Amino acid sequence: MAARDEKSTRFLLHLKPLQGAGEAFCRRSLYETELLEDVLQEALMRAFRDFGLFEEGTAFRAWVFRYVHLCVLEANRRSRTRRQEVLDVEPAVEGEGLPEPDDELSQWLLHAPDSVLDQCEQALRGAIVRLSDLERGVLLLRALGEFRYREIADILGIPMGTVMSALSRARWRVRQHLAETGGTADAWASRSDRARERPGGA
Amino acid sequence: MNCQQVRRHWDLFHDSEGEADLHWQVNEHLRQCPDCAEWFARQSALEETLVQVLQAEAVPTGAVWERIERELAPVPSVSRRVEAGCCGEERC
Repeated sequence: MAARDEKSTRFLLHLKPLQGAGEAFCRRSLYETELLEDVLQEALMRAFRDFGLFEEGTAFRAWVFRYVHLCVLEANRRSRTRRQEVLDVEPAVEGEGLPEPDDELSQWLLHAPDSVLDQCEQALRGAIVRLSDLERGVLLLRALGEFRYREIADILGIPMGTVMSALSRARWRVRQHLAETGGTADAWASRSDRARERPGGA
Repeated sequence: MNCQQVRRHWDLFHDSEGEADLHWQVNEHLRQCPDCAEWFARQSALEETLVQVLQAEAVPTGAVWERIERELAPVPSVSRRVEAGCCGEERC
């Protein structure tokens, strides 16, 4: 009993600083965000069960994110089957570089980031959900987990080269989707004007 | 490296990944090419904005973690359970 207590205390101690990033990663990765609690709990119970295999001194962060990622994949597979929903994921385009950013949009992003941050949440969610499982995993592990490419490769069990190409593709697709649906430069401009008109606005 | 080749390496450069030699070559190019320097700056600014949006919600939700911590919390010791009685109630 004491051994389990010690294991539990140690596990929770390791987990504490990762709660925010882990939850955000799980929420952003799931097709059905209402499954968040169940999926996160399942992942962490599995990680806890295997915690005896974890070697102190190695990266707990990467180790536990792997469980969350695998449980998210399982949940998303079930969601796809249940909903019979075909997500409109376009085939990967290899060797494509980043697009030229829209000049005006970029300017608004640079000069009025607060108003843009307020507005692009929905468009960003749509962009991320349209990525393939691999692209979404790589993008979110980098952005939310702040993992190095080597760590992402280990978590997902894929070669480093695949991490690089998937991340580049994911970023390209997100920007493309934002450019298409996030609004025109005029729309950003009027949003920014509204933000400036608010008391204390930018 | 020409402009096109350099821009293909933006991800690695932005993420501080890849070989030191690659970073040196990219830096050299950016020093001499204002167009690419501006392009890199814009891409990085946009990426940082997007990451900011994503990270803004990286705050743990109390209810979610209370439930998880309850599941994972150390179990009550035997002596505490004996004190409480076999069904968990005091003076059982």
